[in-house]
Amino acid sequence: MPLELAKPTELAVPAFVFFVIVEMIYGWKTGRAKFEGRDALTSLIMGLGSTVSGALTAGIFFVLSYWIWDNFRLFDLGAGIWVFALAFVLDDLAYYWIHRFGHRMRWMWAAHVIHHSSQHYNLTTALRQTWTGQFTPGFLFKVPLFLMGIEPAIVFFVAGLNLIYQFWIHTEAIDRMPRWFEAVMNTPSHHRVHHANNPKYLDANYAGVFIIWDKMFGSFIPEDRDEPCRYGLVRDLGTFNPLRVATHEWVGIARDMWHAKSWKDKAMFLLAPPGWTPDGSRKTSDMIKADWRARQEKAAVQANEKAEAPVVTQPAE
Amino acid sequence: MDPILLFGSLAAILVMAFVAARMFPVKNLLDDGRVRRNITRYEPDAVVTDIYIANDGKAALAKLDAPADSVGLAVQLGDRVVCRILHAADITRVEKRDAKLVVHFDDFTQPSVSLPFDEATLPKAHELVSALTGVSTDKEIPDAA
Repeated sequence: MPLELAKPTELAVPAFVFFVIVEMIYGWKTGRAKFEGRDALTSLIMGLGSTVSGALTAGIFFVLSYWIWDNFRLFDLGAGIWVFALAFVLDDLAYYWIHRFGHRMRWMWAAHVIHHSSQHYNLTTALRQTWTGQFTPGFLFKVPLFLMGIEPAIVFFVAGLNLIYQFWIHTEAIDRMPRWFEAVMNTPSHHRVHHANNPKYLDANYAGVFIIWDKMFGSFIPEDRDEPCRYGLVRDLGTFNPLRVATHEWVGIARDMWHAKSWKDKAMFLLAPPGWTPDGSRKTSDMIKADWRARQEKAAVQANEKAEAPVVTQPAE
Repeated sequence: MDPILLFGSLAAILVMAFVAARMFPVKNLLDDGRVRRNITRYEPDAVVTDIYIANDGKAALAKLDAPADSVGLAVQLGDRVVCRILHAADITRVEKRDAKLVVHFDDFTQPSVSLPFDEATLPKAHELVSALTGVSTDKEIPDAA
């Protein structure tokens, strides 16, 4: 009999609404949080749609998870408090890799891109979630937890807590948290970097709750006060239409695969990073970063040359 | 999902979006500097030589010296700007209607843009797009009924 646990995200909905309103009022009064009506509407509609689409397929994943856990688990870890704590940490590690692949594999990006499609960064952005995550291989990253013997209901429960944690970090209203907290936990500052489309910040800070994963796996970039974050995609969407927002990258993949000249290219359009093309006619984030670095180096060399140029002074008369 | 919860959520969403729109009205329309800054942010190698801003301030075309054979497009979406560097293959159709230029794109999230221009600017903007697409006289639609 599966363990019956509450659904944390459903319980948190009233708090989400409350804090969005609080942030709006704070932003209105101080100018430290920015909203736009249609952008907020799109984000919230995407959030509602994500809940609906998730509910439609939740049963399949529930049954599949329990089938794996029932038949292939190595241990039975039970349901003690320590198992919840272990599950929370390991689920966050799984989240880190799901998220990293969500940016580095176009198949998974097709679902995750929705969350990055707003040019605003406020609490409604946290709710701008995918409708199509079920069609990606993201679930596979959770399988090791079931194999270890953590009951799926516990994994789903802690995953809900993880999502709730991530809500509050989608804000410009909070500058920096205390130093010790910034060192260990994901914070608004770290996550602003993740949502920024400045070349310097691309593909960084994938953490859900613990920023230590980024520090361990080399993807951490701190927020630089001299490089203010600009939010959105490297090629922003020209629409607020939720259906187009939800499906645009899938349409792009389908078009590219249809026109691809070889089976290898068809596979690469699905598995390679977003922006990959056989002829390099579009740019991946690595290419954008390389171009940016080259421009920075060129600018630095020019600045040095200017500084080193002999200063010609008029001889004293 | 409970229908009451679903429709309740939808109602709450509409209220919140309405409140956001009232509290944060969109004030800044496109101007020359904003178009130039956004296009060069989007494409750092872009060299903008001229800018044609639509009368409503919501879209603009930019004549570019670089990249070669391209035109810059800036569209105001809400209070933010969306940019494209257009090449001939990106444009599927151009219509000159009344005092408007309507450009259709091969772009799922930016299917078309309507640019109302004054009498002096319309021919220049039209010429800019026509030169890119290689079609000197595009589809002209008489006054829509």
